[in-house]
Amino acid sequence: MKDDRNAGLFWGSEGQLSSLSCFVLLFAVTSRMAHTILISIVIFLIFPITSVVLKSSTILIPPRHDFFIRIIVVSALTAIASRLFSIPWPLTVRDCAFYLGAIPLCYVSGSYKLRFESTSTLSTLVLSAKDALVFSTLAFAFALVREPFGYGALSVPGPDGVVEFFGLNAVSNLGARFASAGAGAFILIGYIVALYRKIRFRLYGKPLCGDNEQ
Amino acid sequence: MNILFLPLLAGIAGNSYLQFGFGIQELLFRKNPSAKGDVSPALAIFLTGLFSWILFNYIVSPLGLGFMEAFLLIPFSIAISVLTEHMVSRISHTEIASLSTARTAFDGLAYASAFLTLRLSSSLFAAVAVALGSAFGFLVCGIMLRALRSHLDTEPIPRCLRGIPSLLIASGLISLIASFSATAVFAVWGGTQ
Repeated sequence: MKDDRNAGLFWGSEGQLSSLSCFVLLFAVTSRMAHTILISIVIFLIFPITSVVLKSSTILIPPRHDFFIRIIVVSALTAIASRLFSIPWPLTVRDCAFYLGAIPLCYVSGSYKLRFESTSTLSTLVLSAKDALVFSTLAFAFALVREPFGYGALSVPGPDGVVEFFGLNAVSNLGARFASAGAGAFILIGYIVALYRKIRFRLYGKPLCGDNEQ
Repeated sequence: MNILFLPLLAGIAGNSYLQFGFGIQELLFRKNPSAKGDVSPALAIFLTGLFSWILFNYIVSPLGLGFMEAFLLIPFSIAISVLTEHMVSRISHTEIASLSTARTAFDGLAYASAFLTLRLSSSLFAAVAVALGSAFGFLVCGIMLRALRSHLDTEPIPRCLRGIPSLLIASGLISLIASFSATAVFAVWGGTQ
């Protein structure tokens, strides 16, 4: 079996497809590329900034209230980011309000706590940015499959809502729209997790369905 | 009549797990899932929905702090979830095994319930109806997924599809049925109004 201690970001037990820690965002947001772009940018800002703020104020935070302070900081930063992005993209931010609220949950339910406690400020920043990069890569890959099949287009956020490109009405029939619905997301993610296990087994020899397998 | 319609809307069309993917850790990743384990999340879903409506409509908004919703909803959902977990363990005289799921608002289920209740309810009765519908929707999902899990464990399916992938695919099919059922129910309901 190959050593996978350095493969935690994608292939380790804390990898996003392994722990599905940002499942809600992968599930809901990736039906539209415009929403994926907005959420990815917010995550790219929030994860590293929160980690650095918390890491640099470790001495000030009483251990007893550590968790609630962490959640309040990440919620406050997400609320500020939502306000800032509602200036250029008001309608997209309004459409994504439900999912923007889930970003703090993804932050605390992911593996960020371990990284935050075990590394220096610079390492925390780099690891958080890498986490955001892994999420964004997965989210863009999902959106590139789901939106063209579901809506027959690719969209980007604009001041008056989403701006669509490459309108393909032939693709966007009822059967294809299934890919953009919640049911399609479940099935797509189910097959991708199975494929991920197979590749991980080939690369690292990790069991396809072990005791701690998620 | 609206009060009867709202729980259906929250339980089927607005089901946090089937339509939005909240609660996957709670429903699919839990070791030894049981009906007893669904009590805390269901209660947290109901209480968070109800109390968030009361908080935002009777306290936060009258003070002119409605814009704080985006900031307050997650910490509030988590606080109610943790309190619910403590309350259930005290009533059932059992130790709290882990607060980690309650600390994520039961993987966002409580947050989703609060958000939906705030958006769909125009009165306290409506808030109770939506919160009850959300909790009931979660309980039904829990029952279905436990039954599916026990069947899938014994079926001859490829190893890489065992466990979470097969449950995700099954959830997709349930979600599809729920979406079509909701459309049918609302079409019939709309026709009789």
